[in-house]
Amino acid sequence: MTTTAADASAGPAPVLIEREQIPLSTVIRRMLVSRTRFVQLGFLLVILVGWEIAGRQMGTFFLAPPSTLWAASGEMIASGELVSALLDSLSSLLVGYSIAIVVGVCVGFLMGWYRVVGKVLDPFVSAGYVIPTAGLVPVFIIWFGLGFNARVVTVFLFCVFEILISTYTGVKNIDPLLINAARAFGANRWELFSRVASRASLPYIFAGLRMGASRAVKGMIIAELLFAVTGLGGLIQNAANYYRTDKVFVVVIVLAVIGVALAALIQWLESRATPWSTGPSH
Amino acid sequence: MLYTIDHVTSQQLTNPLAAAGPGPSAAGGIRVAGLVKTYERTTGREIVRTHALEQVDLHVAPNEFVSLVGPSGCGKTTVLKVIAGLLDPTSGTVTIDGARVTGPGTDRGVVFQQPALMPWLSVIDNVTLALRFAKVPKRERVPRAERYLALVGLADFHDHFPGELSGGMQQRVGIARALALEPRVLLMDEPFGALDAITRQHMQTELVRIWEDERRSVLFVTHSLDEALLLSDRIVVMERGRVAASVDVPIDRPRTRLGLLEDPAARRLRASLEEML
Repeated sequence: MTTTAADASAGPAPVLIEREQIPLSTVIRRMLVSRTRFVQLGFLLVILVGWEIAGRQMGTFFLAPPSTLWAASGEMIASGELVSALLDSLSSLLVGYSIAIVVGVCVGFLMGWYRVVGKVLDPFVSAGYVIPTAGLVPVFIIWFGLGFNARVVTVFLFCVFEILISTYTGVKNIDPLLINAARAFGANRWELFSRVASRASLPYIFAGLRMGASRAVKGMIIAELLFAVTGLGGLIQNAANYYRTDKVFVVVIVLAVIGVALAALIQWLESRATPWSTGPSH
Repeated sequence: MLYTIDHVTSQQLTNPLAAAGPGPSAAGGIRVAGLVKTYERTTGREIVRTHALEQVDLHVAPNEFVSLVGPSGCGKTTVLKVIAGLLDPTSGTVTIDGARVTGPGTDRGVVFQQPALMPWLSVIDNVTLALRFAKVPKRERVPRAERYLALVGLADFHDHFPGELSGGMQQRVGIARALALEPRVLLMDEPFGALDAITRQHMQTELVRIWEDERRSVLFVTHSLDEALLLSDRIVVMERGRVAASVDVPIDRPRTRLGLLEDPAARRLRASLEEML
């Protein structure tokens, strides 16, 4: 075989490529200082100012203004109630969400990969998806009691279907061209799964994880309000019972931070795992 | 010399294999015999049968470059997919150098209409993945991938991702991937169909150069007569799931687009082929 010089054969390189290293400090500065960040901060400021004005008009009892939240959060941290509630909530959230990821991704994959399994399970999944989980709470109390298990099950049921359906859709939508190409080059069934399908469906799986994460946080709070009053949800209820709207808002802000942090974590994982994709939901 | 279409057509009808070069005893190359593909679909109380391939006989001799032309929907791609082993025929057989095709195999390198690259893998990883699938020993994969990427002019683009390349460059990766298997035959399904005119011309020239470097049997599906005339030793015309004609292209190589336009024999051949389509 004669590899007659590529440069002579292929004509001129179609484009000029330059590579330049960026200093780490510049990378970090770009992450922290950008027009988006600036506008986001401005937007946050507008919300806080509006809230402050409204709060002062209505009174702390009705709507605690942001300026009172520092004191309230200091009080809650000092008493230890915020940290213990946070750990309590996070444990049920993470356990329920993790089980949902394992079950949702596995079952979703099976349904997408084996057409028969997909066809058989499809109506059951649809049924499970439309049944309002909150409506099952009385039965959960009978089955799982009022403790940790009941909360984990609620979180699980709140988010498993998002993850499952998204994975199912992702596997069904794998470009048949990629599968055919792999088959043409001799890939066996296992290689098709491990080298092609599992990668090609990642954008959809991550979309499911993102949707599932916010549902999981909702499930966690609902469980804490409906079963034993505990965790962050319990903290909200207790604070409201004593008309401490400032404490209520502290917890709500903590919840928002959890949601944002979880979303950011998933997004970071997604950008690491699927650098080629902008995701199906964008 | 130039066959008239009528002559070839009648020969084709009486004995399809005779027109296709060596007799059945010569088992080399791609041999397709009595290929039938029927799709069945049930709609309500009706069964709809689509006869994609009625009866296809075809032979591509070792190192021969054959183009398969015909209007869209005539079954060209179906023939190619059956030969590639990606589609089971309803009846009929395909053999590659005498070995019966029962599924996909690495004796055939396939280039698809779209580049069909894994978007999550770099250019070189796309090629080495195919070599991995083909059970090429690990040590050989990277050097082989590098060699064939250089052959298609992508030596500087190893660690780029497909999304960062132009359509023409992506298609070249697809060609390098097929060549890297060092297959006995190359199956190409309108590989340049999605490219702009300038890139297509460039790629055609390059394909001929590569083929002349590394001779092997090529079956090239296209709907462009000019492309078929420029590239092939023989043109097989398909129509409604059958082979309508098989025509030699007795034009000296190297061929150029301009040369084909000026050569009266080429013009006559083109005109008579056009009439058939």
